[in-house]
Amino acid sequence: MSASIYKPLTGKRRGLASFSQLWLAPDHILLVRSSRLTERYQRFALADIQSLVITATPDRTVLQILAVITALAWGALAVTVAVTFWKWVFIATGAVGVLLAILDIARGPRCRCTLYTAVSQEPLPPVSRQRIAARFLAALRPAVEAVQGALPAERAEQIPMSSPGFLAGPPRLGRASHRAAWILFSLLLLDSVLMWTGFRYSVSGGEGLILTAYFAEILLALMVLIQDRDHPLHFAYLLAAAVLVCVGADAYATVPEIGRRTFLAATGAPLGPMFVFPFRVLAFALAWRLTGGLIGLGVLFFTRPGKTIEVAVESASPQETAPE
Amino acid sequence: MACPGCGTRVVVTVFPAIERVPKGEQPDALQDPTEATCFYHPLSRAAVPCDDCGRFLCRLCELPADGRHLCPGCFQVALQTGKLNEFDTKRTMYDSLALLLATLPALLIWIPVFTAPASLYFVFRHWKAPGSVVPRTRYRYYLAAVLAFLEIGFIGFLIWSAIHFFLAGRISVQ
Repeated sequence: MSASIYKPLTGKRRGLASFSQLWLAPDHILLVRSSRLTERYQRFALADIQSLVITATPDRTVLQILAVITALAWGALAVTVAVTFWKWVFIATGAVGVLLAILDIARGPRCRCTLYTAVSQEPLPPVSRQRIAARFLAALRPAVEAVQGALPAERAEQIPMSSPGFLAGPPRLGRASHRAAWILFSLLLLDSVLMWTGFRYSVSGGEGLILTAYFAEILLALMVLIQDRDHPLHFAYLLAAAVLVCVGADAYATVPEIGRRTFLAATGAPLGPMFVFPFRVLAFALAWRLTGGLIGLGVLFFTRPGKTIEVAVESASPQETAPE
Repeated sequence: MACPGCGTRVVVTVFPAIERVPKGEQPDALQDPTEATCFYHPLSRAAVPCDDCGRFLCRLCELPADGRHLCPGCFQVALQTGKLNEFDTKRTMYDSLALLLATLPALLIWIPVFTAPASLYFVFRHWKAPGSVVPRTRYRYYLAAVLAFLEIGFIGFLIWSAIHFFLAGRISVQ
């Protein structure tokens, strides 16, 4: 094997079936994105790198502690089962969960790194922790300065916004796709139709359907609560919280009846038609699903990606500087 | 420093390239009618010949690649045929593919009948194919070949055993 010109700049940032990594060559850095079976490469000449921006991401300590507690609670389920096999399943999976959560804490605070050239702004996924970012900068800075020369610190602070590197303005802040929110609000509409159909045509055996709908709505609402907390309007966040409250109210009104029917079915007793709840229960379930679904989809549609938030920056004419 | 909007801590490292005005190469104008001119621009002075086809090129048309000077036509051809390592943007990892074919299907009995030979095909067909741009050992090829041979041997043994017992059964019945 011939000697390679590349030296690793960062470790691999692994996904489920992929990874990315940064490598340093004498005159460029290489970003490798691998799907295991294929590798894609992006090269950035050291002479073209204008700046590196490392942004600390929000603190996740609370989430990490919650993850540890959840994993411990999961493992503790082992004491509630009698079968040895399931005891070990709970203990093993709980231990793995605790281990992963502790490893995540040990890797330190997270960050995002973006590399700027005159023509591109490229996020560097392998630089995902502040500790990695410090090592990355320490390795890359001398290499870039060997090619470009050093910029004195006082000069760096004086660089005006009119410099060529700033002409493009700050990065466009694209809004997240809010896929979970789209699915949640569509599901609310679908569920309202299903419930109306079930009531209108006295469908029997719909207990599983209702419980599945509750479960899916709760899961999606929780996903929206986690994913959309940064949304500038906070509407999805509020609606998801409202969905949780309404599903809770629905469950309070319907689950006892569903439980009674399940018990009757288990004992072989004859069952009447499903959806024998009082009309007010059905009306409430239909109304909030229909209203929430329509409002949610409407707002998501009018704030969908592509309508980016523009940040206005005044830029004067570019400074003419002699190329090196 | 911290973002004035949200207070998030931001570290910005700036390099001298931020003050450089991007500028492309400019061709030299022809000074004397006896001077060699660019193949593509008859009014520009030739600066260098193409290392592949020999055409004279001005500074605008000359494309440096892998330590050579190429004209736009040769550059395009080299790019399409994958001869420019410096500009490779995608490669297939045949060693990983071969290893995948030799390992995952082995969880089932009958699928390796097809995938083990396929794995061997990828091992031998792409043994010399360029692998990753970055350093990477060949252990996946070796491992895939060994596993594929083992699987084929095991399947062969199964078939031989089945035939053997079948024939033995017929003989004992007679």
